[in-house]
Amino acid sequence: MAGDDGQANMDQIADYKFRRWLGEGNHGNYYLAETPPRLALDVDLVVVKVLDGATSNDGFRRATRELRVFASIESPYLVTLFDAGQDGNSFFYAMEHFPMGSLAAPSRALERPEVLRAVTDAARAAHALHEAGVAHRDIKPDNIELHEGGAKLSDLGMAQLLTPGLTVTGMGPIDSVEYIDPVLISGGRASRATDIWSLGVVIHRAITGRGVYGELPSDDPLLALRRVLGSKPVLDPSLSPPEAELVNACLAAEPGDRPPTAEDVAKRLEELDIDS
Amino acid sequence: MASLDEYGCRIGPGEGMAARFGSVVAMVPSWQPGQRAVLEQILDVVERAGDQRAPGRALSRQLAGLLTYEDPAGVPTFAAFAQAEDGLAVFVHGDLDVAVTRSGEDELVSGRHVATWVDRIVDEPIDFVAVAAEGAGTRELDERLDLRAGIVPAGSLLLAAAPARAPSEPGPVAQPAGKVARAKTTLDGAAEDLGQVRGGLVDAEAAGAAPVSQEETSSFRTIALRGVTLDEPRAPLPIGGEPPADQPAVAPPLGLLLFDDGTTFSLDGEVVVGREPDGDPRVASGDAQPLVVTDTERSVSRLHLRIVLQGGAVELIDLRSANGTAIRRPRDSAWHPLTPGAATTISPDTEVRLGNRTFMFTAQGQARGR
Repeated sequence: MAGDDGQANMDQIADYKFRRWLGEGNHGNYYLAETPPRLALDVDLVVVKVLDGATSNDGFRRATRELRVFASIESPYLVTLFDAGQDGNSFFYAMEHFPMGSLAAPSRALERPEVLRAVTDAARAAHALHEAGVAHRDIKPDNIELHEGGAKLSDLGMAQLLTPGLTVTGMGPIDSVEYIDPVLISGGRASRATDIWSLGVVIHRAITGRGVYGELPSDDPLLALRRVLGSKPVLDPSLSPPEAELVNACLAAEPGDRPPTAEDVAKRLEELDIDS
Repeated sequence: MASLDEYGCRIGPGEGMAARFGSVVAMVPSWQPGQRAVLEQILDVVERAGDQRAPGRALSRQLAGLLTYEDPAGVPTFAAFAQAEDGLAVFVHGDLDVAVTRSGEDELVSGRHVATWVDRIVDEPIDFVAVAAEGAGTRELDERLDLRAGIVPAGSLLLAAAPARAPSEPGPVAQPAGKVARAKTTLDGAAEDLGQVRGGLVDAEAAGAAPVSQEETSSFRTIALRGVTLDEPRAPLPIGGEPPADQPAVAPPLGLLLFDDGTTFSLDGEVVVGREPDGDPRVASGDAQPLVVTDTERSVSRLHLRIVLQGGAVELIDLRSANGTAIRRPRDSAWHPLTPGAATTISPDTEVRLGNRTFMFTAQGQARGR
């Protein structure tokens, strides 16, 4: 939440022994942990997300409900969740680990078809969530986990679930606000359309390497937020006409003008892949 | 150490179910149709734990975790027993008595008169463990009966440490004469308040209810997410950006609070800002939302600032905080401290300073810009 935290120094939660700290993200810290025997998994390592300590019980119950829905969806495009729990004052959940890293920080350079494949898989994941009644709220390259056959979408944006009214947590790199539909930052309701906006920004960055608001100042969160809230996204001229058309459609000011479903976004991405 | 999988397990007929997997045994004397989903989850947890050598503590934690998130009305009455490193883990939920006979002395572990459940590690050696549905008993169970593995219909269940030994006085379920166990119980409304659950566990452990090994002094609970299924799947999100018909329209927020670290809060009602805003009675009563703001120097007070909406106006009231609240209005370069306890109306684009944290209040219309 707003302010400091010391969780990056943790070395264990429940029966998860941490190997190392992976990073800070929406409302929590991520750790690489040894798989406890209790889970009876055939993998040695899992990722544990420890949520910020100042979470209300109501908030945690809402978040757990959402995680249960996420976990119940059978989709090859969604990260597998193992369990959620509470240890002392901390809430956490454990999920699959991806040694190849995320679209934001891949372990090796990616070819264009691989990048497009990853975003397409993320769009399919978003569609599976939407069909199950869940909006993701936080689709960004950091949450698109890579494997050799494509990608899986991880995590869920939980800020508003954990603390009603909170739309950006102030934890983690502030430049991730560039992926959030400004309607959500302003307290609007998450929907298919707000996730499709995020997919549009992700596609733009995946293809051009640039954001739709230019590069946001990472050292001035307030300025970054005001820029996202106060300016319109501008597309990079290096996009091909069909690419620009897709990104523009995702970023339409009126939700009704965007592609109706994330599955439509996935299909249009596949067509791009063929054309290029 | 005798292991639970070496106990004989005698089953009597009835409306319920008994389950045995490895070193875990469970008894459900009866259940309602609406409890079927949780019953299956319980049996699933029991079956999976059965593979482990001493799953006692882990099983109790998993059951507690499961029950914490379920509506109590949806959870059937049941008892579960599992081998632990240092005894036999006994978990009882609902109006059910478990009689444990040790050295000829009976002890009752009862799920009655507790608000949530009873979770206990009973020292070994144990002679018998008996549990039965209302009106059923375990005395008459033939010692040749023995459930080795699986799930069967049942009305009563007797675990006997040595199947060969005749039960001179098996645990008298109908008229328990033993002392009621001092058990790890949790407080009312556990499903409503995890904090209270935590408190209950700590209190019980401090009272010596269960020996806790050094390794396990940090008590934790988990709920399994792998392979979960939902009883009532949700409807897909509507297509076309329209809000779902069954959800009430939400009043548009009046503005945003943009904090110096990027935290963004949409303002649509009264808010109490501070390090521990949950301590404010208006937050406790639901009249105000808590907004936690912290800093390394603790310059923000526990209850620092109240933000009130009066008509269309936004008012700030400093809650007599240690370091005070100051504001800088648009086009003004100077900070002005607020009078503690007095309401001050602010306009959009006013900056507010709490200790050494700051935020800006931005009106919704200006913030949108699209």
